[in-house]
Order: sequence, then C-alpha cells, then structure tokens
Amino acid sequence: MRVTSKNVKDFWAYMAKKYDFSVVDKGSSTEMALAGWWLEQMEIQSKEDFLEKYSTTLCLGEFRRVYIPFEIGKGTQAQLIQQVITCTHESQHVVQSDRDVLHSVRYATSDAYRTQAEVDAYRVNMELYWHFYGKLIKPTTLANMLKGYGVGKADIRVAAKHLTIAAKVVERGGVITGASKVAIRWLEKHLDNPRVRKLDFVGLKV
Amino acid sequence: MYETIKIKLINSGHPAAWIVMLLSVGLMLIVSVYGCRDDCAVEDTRCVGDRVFVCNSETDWEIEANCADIEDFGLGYEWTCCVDPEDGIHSCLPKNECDGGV
Repeated sequence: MRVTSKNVKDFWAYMAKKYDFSVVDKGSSTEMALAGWWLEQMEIQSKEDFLEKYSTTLCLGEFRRVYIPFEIGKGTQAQLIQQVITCTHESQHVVQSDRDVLHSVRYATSDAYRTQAEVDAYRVNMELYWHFYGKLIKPTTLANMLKGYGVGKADIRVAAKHLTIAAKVVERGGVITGASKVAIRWLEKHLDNPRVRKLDFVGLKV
Repeated sequence: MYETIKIKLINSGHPAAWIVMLLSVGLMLIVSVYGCRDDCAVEDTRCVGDRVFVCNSETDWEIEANCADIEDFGLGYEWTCCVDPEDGIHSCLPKNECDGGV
C-alpha cells in the first residue's frame, strides 16, 4: 500500500475536522516547552526527547490541540505511514477527552489512568500497523514504551495484558478502536491499493 | 428467629439487647462494604456477555473490548467473548474459534 504526501496531508485535515482539533508545531509551543521542562524536573524524560520524539494531545474545553514534532507529508514512505498512525493515535486521545472532560488532568496526575489512556491509543498503532503492513507489533514492545511515560512495572504488565487481548483481534483482521475505524474507512476510500487482511495471508501461506 | 429474639431482648430492656444490636449493625456494615466487592488477581481476564474485562488492580475490572462493536471490514466474522483455547485468556474471537469455552 503506497501512501503519498498528499494522502497524508488530506488525512490529517480530515481527522482534524472530524475530531475538531488544531495541529501545532511542538517545537514552537510555549506550553509544550513548559511541559517538557516539568517532565525533565520530574526525571520522567528529557525535555529534548519530549519535544522532538513525541506527539502530544492537549484538550481542555474548547482548547483542543495536537502538538507534533514533524512536518506533515514530509518524509520517507515509512515516515508517511507513521504520520498516519500518529494522527489516528492522537485522535483517539481526543476521543478520550470527549468521554471525560478531566482527561488531560487525570492523564497528567494518575499513572493508572495514563496507562489506560495509552493502552487505548497504542491499540490504534497495532490496528493500523496491521492494516498497512499485515504484521503485528508485539504487545510487550508497545507496553514497554510506557516506561517513557513514568508508569510503574505493574501498570506495564497490565498494559501488556490488555494489548495481548487486543492482538488476538487485530491478527484476525478485527478493529476495536473508534479512531482506527474512522481512519481505515478513509484510507479504504482514498488510497488506491486495498489493505492487507488476514484472508490475503491465508492465501499466501498456501 | 434471630429478629424475634432481638425484638424480645430490646423490649425486655436487657443489656444483651444492645450487644445484639451493635453486632447486627456491624455485620450489616461488613456485608455492605465487602459483600459486593468483586476481588480479582491482577491480569485476570473474564467475559461479561460480549465484553472482555481485565483485572487492573485488586478490585478494578477494566473493559478491554466490546466484541459486538468490532469491525472486520468485510471478513464477516461473528465476534464474541470467550476463552482462547491456546492460552486460556479471555478475548474477542470469531465464534467458530471459541470451542464452547466462555
């Protein structure tokens, strides 16, 4: 499945409208610089990593922003696909904030809540990675990424369990997460090549 | 029987009546606080109807998925919650893989 720069730009525009958020360059954001400084003081992660390697969603009432450390539509094929996955991941965080008005506050203050929120959003990564590549991201790989989010070992174990359960669905071609369903519908409509599904792999194995 | 004895004791003004009363209240409190607790071991899984739950802490069952909401974009599976026979973990699976284990 080939993704073009225009596909990615159109996809971000569609998701931003659908989930009602604006996209902001993370490096030039004062609030993100402040958040990065705080994370560094708390020894959770370095300010540099936070600003350059992570996308962040912040929703407080009408304030709905997704901060990204890259230029949309620019990069290699793998990077373009990753931008689509990132957009859907962050859209799922917006969905979470629509479910709970205090989402961002709880996310910042509770390890358990943050774990659940990220599990929900990492499921998106698993679903879309399967959609694009027909391969599964190992649940433990995703769960271990939570180490960068300042959560404990017990939370990581629980996260791995949730993602293991999700993986059983994903590797059979099922999609659980709301933002992934929206994204896949868009991708099916706008990308030329059909996605890889389990049935295709059954054919390949034989 | 117990209620009859308690009422008779209270009516008689016997000091034992107050002990019985206090024990009753205590018992009711214990039942109300712990009786409805749904304890679990962290990482346990279970099905409630078509939904899969994971035990996140000793008393907290968190939903992982509602199998009825799964979309498979044309594969046409009937998704339901059951035990995966391979590893004993509850999950959403196509019905034909469930082998009767819910």
